[in-house]
Amino acid sequence: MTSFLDFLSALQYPVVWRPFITAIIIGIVCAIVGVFMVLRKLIFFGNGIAHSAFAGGALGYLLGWNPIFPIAGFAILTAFGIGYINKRNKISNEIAIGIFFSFSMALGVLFISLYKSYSTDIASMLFGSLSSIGASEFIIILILGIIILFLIFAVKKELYFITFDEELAKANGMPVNFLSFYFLFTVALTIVMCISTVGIILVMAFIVVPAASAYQFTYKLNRMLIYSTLFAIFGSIIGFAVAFIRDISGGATIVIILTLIFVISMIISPKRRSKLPQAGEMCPQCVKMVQETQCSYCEMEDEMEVK
Amino acid sequence: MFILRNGRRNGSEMKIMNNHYHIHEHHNHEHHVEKREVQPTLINTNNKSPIIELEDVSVNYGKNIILNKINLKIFRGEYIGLIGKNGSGKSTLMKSILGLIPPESGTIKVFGKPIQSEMYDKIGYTPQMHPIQREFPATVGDIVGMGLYKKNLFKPFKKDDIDKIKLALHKVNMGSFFDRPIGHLSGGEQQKVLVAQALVRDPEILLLDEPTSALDFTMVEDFLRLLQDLNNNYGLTLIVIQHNLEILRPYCSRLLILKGSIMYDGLPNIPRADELIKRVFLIQ
Ligand SMILES: Nc1ncnc2c1ncn2[C@@H]1O[C@H](COP(=O)(O)OP(=O)(O)OP(=O)(O)O)[C@@H](O)[C@H]1O
Ligand SMILES: [Mg+2]
Repeated sequence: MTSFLDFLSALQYPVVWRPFITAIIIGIVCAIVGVFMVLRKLIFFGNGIAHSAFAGGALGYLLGWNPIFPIAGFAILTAFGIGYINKRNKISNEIAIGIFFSFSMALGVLFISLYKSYSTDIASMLFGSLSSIGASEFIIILILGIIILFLIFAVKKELYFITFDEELAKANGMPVNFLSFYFLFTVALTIVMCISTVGIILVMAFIVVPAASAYQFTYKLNRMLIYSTLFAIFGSIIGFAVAFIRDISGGATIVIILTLIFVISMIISPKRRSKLPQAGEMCPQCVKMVQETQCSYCEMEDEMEVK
Repeated sequence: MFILRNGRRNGSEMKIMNNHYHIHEHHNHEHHVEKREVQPTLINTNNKSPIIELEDVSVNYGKNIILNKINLKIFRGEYIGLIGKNGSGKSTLMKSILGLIPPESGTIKVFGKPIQSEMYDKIGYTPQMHPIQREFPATVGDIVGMGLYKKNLFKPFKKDDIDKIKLALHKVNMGSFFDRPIGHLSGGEQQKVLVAQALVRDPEILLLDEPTSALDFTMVEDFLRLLQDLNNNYGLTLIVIQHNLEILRPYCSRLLILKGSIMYDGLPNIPRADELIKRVFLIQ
């Protein structure tokens, strides 16, 4: 059995460091995008896009193209399709996603059945394969990652506002429609970036779990972004190391580590602990700020100055 | 305990200035102008173009006609109370002024033009109370700061904006809440934060949709006095939707009663208004 030291020394070889760095890049990007997706309640939407990518991938294999292009095409089309239907408000978001989701899966299965010889590529699309990542693919993921992070941070505060309340943002003159399509596009790009390495099924874990863990610890967006990123990096490093040492699937192991982090976060979350007011919080009884560790107002009921 | 408390003394003068509009009950368009003989400085307010103007505005939701041919001119410095039963279209009217709901027909002009992106810098809006996600990662300061995002669109937030945020919070008596998570406040506190969010960019028009619905009675008085101060001292144009007319009546300068169309448009405290209020609210 290999040890952790063996893993560290193996990192000098491209076949090891390339997937390792890829896992970290994917972790970071998904963690950042995931924060906004979790807050905007777009998890099911993300799932829909990931599954629509299946049709794209299958089409790619059928036509013998590099699957990344049809995958990107399907993902972006689906994102805009769902976004458009949602904007028109004729059908609920969930129904629209459900329909796109199953339709593109059906298309994918159709393409595969046309392809005749069932290929292992299909399985790798569903579950991904970190270890088989090549040099050119690595470069693509790196560049996509940088683009996605740039896209998000360029409009961070605007996204934050529409995440809080779309209608209020609109009433403030924010370009809400543009921003929400922009974000859907970014989500689609993120999923495209991840498909080949972590697969359709597991990509949502990379997006949801670190953000959901970070959500347990803070009431500040920036901190949530930082915690989410740290959890993702930690999960990727430990998960990848464990997978290398035990020679098991990298993506799956990372997801399991991330889920463990989430469970621990749930348990130790300060948001779920005592309801007693702390200093700087409000006394639920007299609705005044608590100065020390306990409310000093309730005792002395002399209402300060009644003007 | 709102800070701008002293403005009441010039309130009476300003009231007179505001009374230059017409009373028009729907259907019959008898106009008569109230108190023309106002202060010399205010004489030409009648010729001024309206700050908000609705012309034959109709709004539908699907097949339901919510607003039917609304005609309305609102002038700078007016303090308008908007009342009406549940479902009478008050919020819809406010949202269509803001451009959130496109009208089926008719034109809406703000500052003399159809609403455009840069106008939002001069309009503050507090929506009707709705629940805020309890664990949403935003502090009170963050939320009020959002009121300045449009001014700094796609640009980094400026440092001196923090002072503006603190001032706006102070105005609604919420100064000590700056760092508190928004989801943890009571309904009334959240409402005040959203008012601060509307005040933070020093708007010229302030649209408030039932801003006092969750405030306790001591706060309501203070709050309405704050609005009156802003109206008197800064010439802020106000439209306030309110269910409890008796509270608003001493403050507003003009009353609108809505029921799909404008049933009454005039002074808040004349017998005619009472008559119509009874008719609109008691008779189906
Ligand atoms: N999104 C919507 N889709 C369909 N109908 C709507 C929608 N929003 C409002 N309505 C309808 O429009 C009418 C007017 O609604 P609006 O919110 O303007 O009333 P309101 O006067 O503000 O009432 P309230 O006092 O309860 O706030 C209501 O009958 C309501 O059912
Ligand atoms: Mg309403």
